[in-house]
Amino acid sequence: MARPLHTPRVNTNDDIVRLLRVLVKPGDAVDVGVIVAEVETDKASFTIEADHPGVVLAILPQINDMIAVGSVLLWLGTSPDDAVPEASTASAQPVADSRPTVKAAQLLEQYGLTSTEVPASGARLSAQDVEAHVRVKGLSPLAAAQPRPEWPGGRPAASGTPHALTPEERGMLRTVLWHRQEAVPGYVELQYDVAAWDRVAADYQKRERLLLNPLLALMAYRLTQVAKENPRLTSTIVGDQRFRYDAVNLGFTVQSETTLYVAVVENAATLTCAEFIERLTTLQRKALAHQLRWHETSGATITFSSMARWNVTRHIPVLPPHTALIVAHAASSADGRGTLGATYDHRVLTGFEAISAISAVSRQESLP
Amino acid sequence: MTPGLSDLAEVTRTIRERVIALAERRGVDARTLKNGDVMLESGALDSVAILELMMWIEMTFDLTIAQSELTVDNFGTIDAIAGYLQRAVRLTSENDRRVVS
Repeated sequence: MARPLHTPRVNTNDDIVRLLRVLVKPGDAVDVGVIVAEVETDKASFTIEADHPGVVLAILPQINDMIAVGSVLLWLGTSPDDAVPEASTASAQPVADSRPTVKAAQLLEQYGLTSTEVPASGARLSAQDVEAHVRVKGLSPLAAAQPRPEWPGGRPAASGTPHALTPEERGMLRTVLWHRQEAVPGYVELQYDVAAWDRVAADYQKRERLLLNPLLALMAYRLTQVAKENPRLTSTIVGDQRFRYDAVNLGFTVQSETTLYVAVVENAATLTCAEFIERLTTLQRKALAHQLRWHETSGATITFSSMARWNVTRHIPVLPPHTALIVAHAASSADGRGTLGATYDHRVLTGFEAISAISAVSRQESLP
Repeated sequence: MTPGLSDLAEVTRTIRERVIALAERRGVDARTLKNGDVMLESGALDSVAILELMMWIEMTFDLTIAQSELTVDNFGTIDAIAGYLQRAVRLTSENDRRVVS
């Protein structure tokens, strides 16, 4: 028997949505929760999931149609031979969109007007209509309003390129939609061989005749190499897209008195190990003297943090903005085992990816 | 009060007090540290504490320590730091004299 899948209400203010994409075709079998289509409102795009299982019999609207909330989007049957009720197709007819355009709506808000106060020259109230109206009436904008952010959740500080999510990635995003525009932190940790890392650091310090113990710098450098090999680690979510950063900008937490800085080594993966350590040490010195410049605390695309010097054996760090991974280094426990943890953005990474990343950091590979 | 750099014993004592204070902040008692002990190896200071010591030296003695000068020979021990400071002041004085003449 054929059953309809209706266009759901995604926003209390939107009675009409635009059909962006249909992810199924007639004959496809779908289960409950499978994303079948994507629609957008003025504010954002949303996915529509099957609310019951079945075989897709018919998809009624076309891509880019404006469709009414509650109208039939598609029909699902128990078998591909089920008939689609003819009368029902009427409810899926595209509807005329009489809403103000997005720009017009912004102008209305800016001038404290409603759409009924401004005559429209066409089917929809346009920005030109509003501009003409305020000119004739001699109206001024209300007190400076906050500009609408160009990017949902704010634009990332470092440059990069948006990529469409794969269906699998969209599925993971869907599971955490309750916190859609912000990072959804998870935490994982593993134990590792502290002695092996200590040996590597001691050898490097002796060979390079360094004053400071390079252990943390070497581990952070190792993280940059791991991130270079797996660009998913230096990604974030912007709206419904994965934003993949162009560079590995390594954030490194530095506590100076009561202030915590994230000092950023830009393009860290392009540096040699020695260059990285020198750059990081310079930034640490500046942080301790509260002399970091703005660009030296901005644009981290992955971060390393240690609280070992305070003998903290576990800490769960907060993710810096628009990053997917911060690795947490802690003091060794009484039995000599070390713990590496990671807070990760579950919109971007799985727990497995996070644990794989810190597992790779725990191994002393690719180091001079 | 800033010690006069001509008095090596006074400079050494001032640095030592600072090292002990920095170690104490980490819960380490460094009062038994010898002036010739390597601070990092002895556990009195960790790397961040040494950087904090560098910052304090720069402010206290009005110096800028170049990254390339951050070596064990210059800053590994309290004695080494005192010697570095005296050399640095001597060089500064010589440069000043050249400028004057």
